[in-house]
Parts: sequence; structure tokens; C-alpha cells
Amino acid sequence: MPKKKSPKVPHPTPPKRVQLHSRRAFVKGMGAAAAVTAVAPTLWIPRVARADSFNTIKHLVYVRLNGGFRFTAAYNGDVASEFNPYGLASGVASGVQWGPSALLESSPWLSGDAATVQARTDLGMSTMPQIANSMAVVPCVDHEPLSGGADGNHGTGLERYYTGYAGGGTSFLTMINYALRDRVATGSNVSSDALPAFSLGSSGMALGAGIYAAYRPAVIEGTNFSRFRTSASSGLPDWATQFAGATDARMRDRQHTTHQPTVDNYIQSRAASARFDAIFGDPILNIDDTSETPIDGLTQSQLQTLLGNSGAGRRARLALRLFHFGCPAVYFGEGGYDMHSNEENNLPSSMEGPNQLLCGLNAALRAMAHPDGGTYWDHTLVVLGSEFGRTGRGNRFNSARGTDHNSDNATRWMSMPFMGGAVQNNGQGGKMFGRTRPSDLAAEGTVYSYRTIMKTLMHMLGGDHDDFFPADNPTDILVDGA
Amino acid sequence: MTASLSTSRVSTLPRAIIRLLLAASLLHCSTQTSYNTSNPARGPGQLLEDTDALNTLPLTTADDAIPHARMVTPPADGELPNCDGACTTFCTDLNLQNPLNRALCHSAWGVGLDTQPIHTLQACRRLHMDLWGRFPSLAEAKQNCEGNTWSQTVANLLQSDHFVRQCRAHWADQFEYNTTRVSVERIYDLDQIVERLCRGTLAYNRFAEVAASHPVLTRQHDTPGDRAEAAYRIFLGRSPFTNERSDVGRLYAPWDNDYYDSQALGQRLPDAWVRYGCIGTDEGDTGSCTSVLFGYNTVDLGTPDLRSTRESGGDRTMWSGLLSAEEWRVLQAPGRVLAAQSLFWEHQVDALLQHYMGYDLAREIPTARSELVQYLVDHHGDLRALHFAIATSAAYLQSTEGSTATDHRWTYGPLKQTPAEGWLTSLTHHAGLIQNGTHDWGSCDPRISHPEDFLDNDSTAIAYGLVEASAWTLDQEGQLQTTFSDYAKSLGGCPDNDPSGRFSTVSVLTTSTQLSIATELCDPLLDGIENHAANEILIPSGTVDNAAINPDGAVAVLEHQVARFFGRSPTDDEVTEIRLAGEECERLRCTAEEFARPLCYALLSSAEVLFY
Repeated sequence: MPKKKSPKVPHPTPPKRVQLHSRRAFVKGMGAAAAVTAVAPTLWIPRVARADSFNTIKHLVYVRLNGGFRFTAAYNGDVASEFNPYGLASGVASGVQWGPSALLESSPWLSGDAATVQARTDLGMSTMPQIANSMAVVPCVDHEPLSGGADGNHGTGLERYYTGYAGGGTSFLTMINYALRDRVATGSNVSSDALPAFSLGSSGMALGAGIYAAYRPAVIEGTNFSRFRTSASSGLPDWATQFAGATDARMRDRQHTTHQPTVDNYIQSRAASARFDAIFGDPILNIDDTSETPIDGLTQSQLQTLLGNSGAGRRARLALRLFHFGCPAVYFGEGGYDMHSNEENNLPSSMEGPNQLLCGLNAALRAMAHPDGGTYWDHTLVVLGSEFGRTGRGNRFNSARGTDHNSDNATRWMSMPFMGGAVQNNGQGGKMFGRTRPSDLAAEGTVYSYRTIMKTLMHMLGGDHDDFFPADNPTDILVDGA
Repeated sequence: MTASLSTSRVSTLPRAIIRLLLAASLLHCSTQTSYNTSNPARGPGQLLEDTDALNTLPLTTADDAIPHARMVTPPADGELPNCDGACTTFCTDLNLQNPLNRALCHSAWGVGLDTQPIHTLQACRRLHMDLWGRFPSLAEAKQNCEGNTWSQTVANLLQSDHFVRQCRAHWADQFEYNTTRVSVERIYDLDQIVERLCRGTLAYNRFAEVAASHPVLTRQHDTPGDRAEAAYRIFLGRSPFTNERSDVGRLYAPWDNDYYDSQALGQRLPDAWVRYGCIGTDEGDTGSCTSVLFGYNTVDLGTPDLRSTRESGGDRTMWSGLLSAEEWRVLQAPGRVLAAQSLFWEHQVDALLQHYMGYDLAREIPTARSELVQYLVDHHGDLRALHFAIATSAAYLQSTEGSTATDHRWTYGPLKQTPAEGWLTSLTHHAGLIQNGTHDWGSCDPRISHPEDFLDNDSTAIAYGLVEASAWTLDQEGQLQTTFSDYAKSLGGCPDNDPSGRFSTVSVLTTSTQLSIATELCDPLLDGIENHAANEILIPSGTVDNAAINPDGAVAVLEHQVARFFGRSPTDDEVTEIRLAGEECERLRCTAEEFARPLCYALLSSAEVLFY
């Protein structure tokens, strides 16, 4: 199959950082280095004190472990057995602080068919314990650090995850598009060819009203981007193109004058969508393309070898291809962890999903050359979260050998992994920022809110996040560990 | 030992034995009763009293003749109408029967403003989308809308299953059905209550009483205050003030969140429990379950008995599935409090006006609200009466086209964006992908927000059967058919309430998606796309697929498709243009199929399907 020439998409030029003062120097100067147990609301002072992590990444893979995830049983495993009944992993890379659990040992991709295993090994794929030093974990991410307990409710927990607040009206990806509105094709920015953020599967990540409505990310259900094509527009006979245009124009012109802009908006949107025809129809976005032509260093089939063909694996493959066209962030869900019953048997096998996702991304990102130089690993951050943690209600499991969610600490803390070059290249791989007491999961270090995490990620993407979460500061722990 | 005996008087050993026996008997009962996968509803809806239809449609309200405006100088743009004595007399003399027309007169005809007449087929198209959720073909429009009075047409559509399905989907959105957060059996139960509301056999205030304390609402929220907030938003359209949240929240104090194990479904289902902590034990505790802001209301369930099987935070709790009819009645206090407020009725009127008009008519003409509230109450709280009054009103039956003397919003018709599912259903229906109710692209069912949870490897045959009996479609291999729901979600429909709801927007990416769908349906480039519209759908009968197209043939194909897709006849402009296209095709020796498929794409991708 001849390689179709892909449209030239200028990668978004990162904005120049506005740094009037170093926030760290400022804080040190104030002698305010004392440790705190919770990040109290503070006033974010726009554009005066940017943290060092500003504009350190170009792409974000934001993954939700669906249904509420037992984080302590995976990414903060050095705790009592009622919080991690599965034990700790062996063979962990040196210097890892965050307690990889035995669940992370599950690596079926390195067993079975010898040729496939060899191919994966050749592409640099290893096991979670072996790559544990390429990611950092924040063990205490909370919905509301100042509240009395966890929000163990699916609805509001997820609202907080998507928007930062219970009942929040603007989703994180909408915020990203808005924060990067000068760089990506979203809102009224018609000059950029860089794709905006995409939600691959959930419209919960696409909330936005008022001035943010135009920045909602596209929601793509399923995993076949080829469905997005509008190839018919460019191949239609002239008469059909003209007739379609005339039909729209007639519809507009016969409306009451106050209605005409409504129809005209569609006409303009239709014209603008033609600009993306080349991108949407590009074989690069066809992740099932069997061509052996490498794209950014890896063929589509090599990506499949690394990330598999599961729903999350396919979405991850598509995410990497969307990044090729300047997309700053992709969100998708992985698995289903609302295991009120039989978690004891089901979770170990289910962990193959996130394990392969992280290991596959780790290998793929390192192998892929980025259009702006370096590898995608250097420019990409992979983050896992969920709506809440899970609890065995004081035991290893509940009465149905599963876990529930209520207001306790096990539900409360999302121990979130952050993996990417921005972390490891800056010497923060394997570190844990914050700590929990093993016996009862009481926080013994800093507790971060979801809002702080979102603000931090927008900050790392180099976005203008002044509009969002004014009481929460971004943190630069992921790049300097302070 | 009687069921009313306080648990404090039961010694530990006998109580444990009795619980065991009780559990065994319940288990026995549950396994003896075969599980109905088409109707797994369990909950307070099963205890709701049976009632006959509250009204007979069409209501006695006659179709008002649309009057001409009084010969006075109308208010200028931006100027509020001032209906003086002569105007009031004019309106009174008209003897208008429709409550919305009566209100409209004082802001339109009575002050010299005319309304925009509408063509029956345009009105029919709008009515079908608003009541049935899809556009009619020309044949359907003629069958349903011609030859009847408009009142009879509206009544017929309101009494169809299509309307009931739309109505149920609306309330599914309001209550944010989500099978991850609350038991699917409870969702089916509320859906059955909603169905009675939609069929006009349950008054709106009675519905609110049951629904405001239904596990589908209470289980989705953590605290009594949150539950009060949700009930306020659904039934009053606003958040409670701090004192209201605190006060009405006390009526939600007995509710607790927990789980029960469904052997049939092989799942642990999230459900509402009741907590006995604040009541029954001593008089002083009663205050924490008592509201005094709107009269003295309390939720006193008495003392816990043998049915209470768990402890939570030191209190006895009981699964709500064991509540008696009388206990359910007691727990319905929040809904009774809300339904007694005038805002309760006003909000529903406002919401329906917004649905039909696409703008806030009640704010523009406040008397419309009061007239419709009175009309609704006069018709025993039958929401169908409200639908009927609005859909037969002159405010609704106005054209979106042409110009008006002023821009007063109520003097021309509403132009709305077609909802995602309505757009998709219309396209696929007209493209012949829905045959005998079966959709080649599948469908979605709001009662099961996450069907995949019922189809995984651990699922029981009953759980599988539940999905199979729902509106979701399984293919021959038992896989979920998600083409329709995937597209709908991309465009803002089929919400899984996880937590987002429905949305509609016009953006580059949604437009691209819509163009892609039109491509898939029409196959305009004859690429052999699977599941596209068949030739017999796109080409008039009597014309063979490979017939050579000439100008007359082109017009015949246009007439056929415009009737099918737009529910009307082609305009002169369209005929002129397509004749030219036919001439070009004649020169190029196009076949009927080569002409019909690009035309299908041009029509289905047009703004005429996206707005109505």
C-alpha cells in the first residue's frame, strides 16, 4: 500500500514562559519551608510565580481506572494487609520508594508465543517492577483535603475527578483546550492545524458551558478513528457539492433573521471541517493499518504488539497517533474495578490491563521520535487516576470477597502514578511524594487535591490556567521533587 | 415473637437464629420466583396504587382560530408590550380556549403584534421530533397530520408508545440513571412509575412524592443535604437555600447507602438502606428527622424490628427492599413538602415551555406560566395536559421563516438543534436501517447505562437476558451492537450519566462526525460501505439501479428523497438545480445509483436535518 503523504502539521510552538520571579526563591526567602500535612487553600497569583514545571510536557495521557480503584493494592503497597492483601512485588528496580504491589508482577505479555515475546522484548518492553523507577507516585491525592472524610459516591466522586468539584461544570480536558487556546484548533482559533484534546470514550470529560462550551474536547466512542473521516466531501461530484451547499444556504436564508446565525454557524463549521479531512483520513490515525511504514519510528503493528488490542490498548495507540498531529491530551478509561464482590480472584487478572498499558507506553514512548526532537518519552506524561480508592471495611475484603467505598482513608486516597520523561529525566523516577501510615493509612505527608493535580498538569503543558482553581497552586514536585 | 418487637428485647442467640431463618426464607422466596428479565423492577413502584387515566385526550380545549392582531401600533423592538383595557377586552372577546393563547394575546395580538403562520407539514415535522424523537417521512406526515384537527393529531401522538419512550428518556436524564451507582432493579422500578406519569395515569404531584424518596434518587447521593439538593433541582429547578437544605435534608436522614447481593444477576448491587438512628428510640432524636420549614413533617418509621440486619455507625439499618407500604408512605415526606409549593408546578411549566420553544417563554410572558399552572392543576396534575396545551398553542405553531415587524421573540417560531439521538434515528430510519423496530446499528437503553457490566465473563444468564430484553441490541455472537450509541455519545446523546448528561453543540468535530455518518449511510462514492441505505430506499420504485439519469429522472430521484428525508416536496429552486445536475449526469452517463447516492449525502448532511 503506497504511503499516503500526511498533511504537514506544524507542531504547536510552546509559549514563552512568563517568569518574573522564581516562586521557589520567593518561598525560601519567606522562610516558609515547613512541611504541612495538607495543602490548604492559598491564593494562586497569576503569572507572577510560575513553578519550574511550566511547559515541561507537550502531551498528556490521562487514564481513569474505571469504577473506583484499590490504589493501595497496586501503587502504595507497603501498607497493612487490610489495605493491600496481595503483598509486595519482587524484582523491583532499585531506588523505588512507592511500594509496588505483587499485583504489578502480572506480565503475561512476556510469556506465551516466543516470537511475540521476542518482538516485545526487542521493542524494549519489560515488567512493571522493572520500570517502577520511571514513574513517581503521589499516594495521597484527595477530593477535598480539608473535608472530614472521603467522597465514596460514584456520581460525585467522578464529578470531582472530571471537573475538580462535585457538580463542576467544566471538565479537565475542556480546561486544557481553553488553557492552550492559542495553540490548538479549538474555540475560535481557526488558524491552528494542531488537534485539540480528545476524550476517547466519555463525555464526562467534555463538559463546558458559557465561554468554555466552544473548548469542549471531541468525544470519540469506540476505537476506530476511521469513522471520523469525511472523505465523501472531497470526492463528491461537483453538482452534489454545490447542491449540498445551496441546500444549507437556502435553509439559512429563509429563516427569520435572528435564526440565521444559528444555521450559518453550521455552514461555517462544515467548511472548517474540510480542513481536517486530510488529518482525519490520514492512515496515521488508522491504527489497524497493516503498512510496515514506521510512523515516528514505530509501525501500527508494532504499537499493537506493545499495547495490545484491548479497548484501552487501542485507545492508547490512537492517543500516540493523535499526538503526531499536535494533540496535547487524550483521556480514556481502562478496565472496570468496581469489584464489590470477588475482587480477590478478579483483580489479579484484571491488573494485566493497566500493567500492559504502562509497560507498553513506556516502551513505545521511548522508541518514538518526536517531531520537535527527542523522543515522545521526553515530552509525554502518563497519569492514572480514578474516582476514589476502595476499602475492605477494616478487613482484607468485604463479606463478598470484594471491596466497597465509603468515607474512610482507603477510599479517600487516590495514589496516582505519573510516568514520563519529565519525571525520570529530572531524577524523580521511583519517588513517592507524600506518605501514608501503614497501619491505618493516615496521611503523614502532603495531601494534594485533584484540583492541584489538574492545575499542575495544565501548568506542565504550558497552558494558561489562571481561570481555573484559583485557590489551588500547581506543584512542581514531579520535576524537582521539592 | 412478633415483627414489631424491639431488637433491644431480643437476646443475641435467638435473634441470630431468627435472622438466619428469615434470610433462608427470603432466599427460598427469591429462588422460587422466576426472574423476569423484561421487567426486573423491584421497589416502591410495586406498592403504588392503581389509577385510571386522569384525562381523556384530546382534551375538550378546541383548536383556537389564530386571530389577526388588533389594529394598534405595536411595541417597538425592545419595548415591553403594555396590554391596556382595550387590549384586555380584545383578548377576552376572542374567547380563546388554549391557556397559552390566552396569555399570548396580551403580549401579541392584543398589542398589535401578529404571529407567524406555519405550514402544516412544517408543524408536523416539529411535533414529531418533539414528541416522538424523530422526523416523519412525507407519507407519515400526511398520515399523522393531515385529515385531522391539530388537537386530534397532538392527542394521537401523545398517546403513542413513541411519546412514552421519549418521556421516559427525559426523566432518565433528570434522575441520571446509572447502573453503577444504583441497582438496575430500582431503576426499572422508577422507570415504570415514570411510564405511568407519561401515560397520564399518575398525577405529577403523586409522582414527585414517590420519586423524591425513591432509591434511584437517595442512593446516588451521600448526605441528607445532597439528597435534598437533588430533589430541589429536579422538582423545583433550583438549589435549596441553606436553611431549606438543612431542614428538608432532615427528611432524608433515614436513608443510608449500602449494597445487596442479587443471586439472579450474580452481582452485588448498590441500593438504598434505611437507618434507624434518628428515630424511634427516644423522643429527643425525632428532631433530626423532622422538617418544620413547611409545616411539621417527620419521618418516623417506628422501632427497628427483625428486618434490620446490619449496623452502620452504631445504628440499625435495613435494606429498603424490605420496607412495607406504610413505611414507604412515611418516607415520601420530602416529595409531599416539595409538591405543596407553587414553584413545583411552575418549574415543570417552565421546563416544558423550554423544551418546546427552545427559549424561556415563561420569562418573556409570565402570565403564560400562571395560565399553564392553573390548566395543569385543573387537569389533575396530568402532564400530558401540559404537553397538549403547549403543542396546540399559537406560540408553538409558528413558522421559523420570513420576517416580522419586530424581533419580539414570541412572534416567530422556535428553531432548535435536533437532539443527537433524534438526528441519528431520523437518518437511520429514513435510510431504512430500522426495520420492524430493529435497528441495524443497535440502540441504547437509559435504564442500563453500562450494559457491558452485565455481559462480562462473571455474568449470569439472567444478567445477559436482562440486556437482551432491553433496548440494547446484541448481535448473533452475543456482542453488544454499539454503532448507534457510539455515534450518539459523540454527538451528545445516549448519556451514561457517568456523570455527564445530554448536550448539543455545533463544532468542527461534531460536524465532521455528522458528515461521516451521512457518508456511511449514503455511500456517496459507491465505496461499498457496509450497512448503507439500500438502492430501493434512495431510488423511486420503477427505476432500476443502472438506469441512465436524465433531467426528469434526476427530478424524480429528488422528489423521492426529499419526501423521504425532509417530509415535504422539493422547492422550485431545488428542482431547477437538480435538473442542471441531471443534464450533467446525462452527459457523463451516470446511473440512477451513481446519482442517488451523492444526492442522499447532500440531503442528509444538510442543515435542514440538523435544525427544526
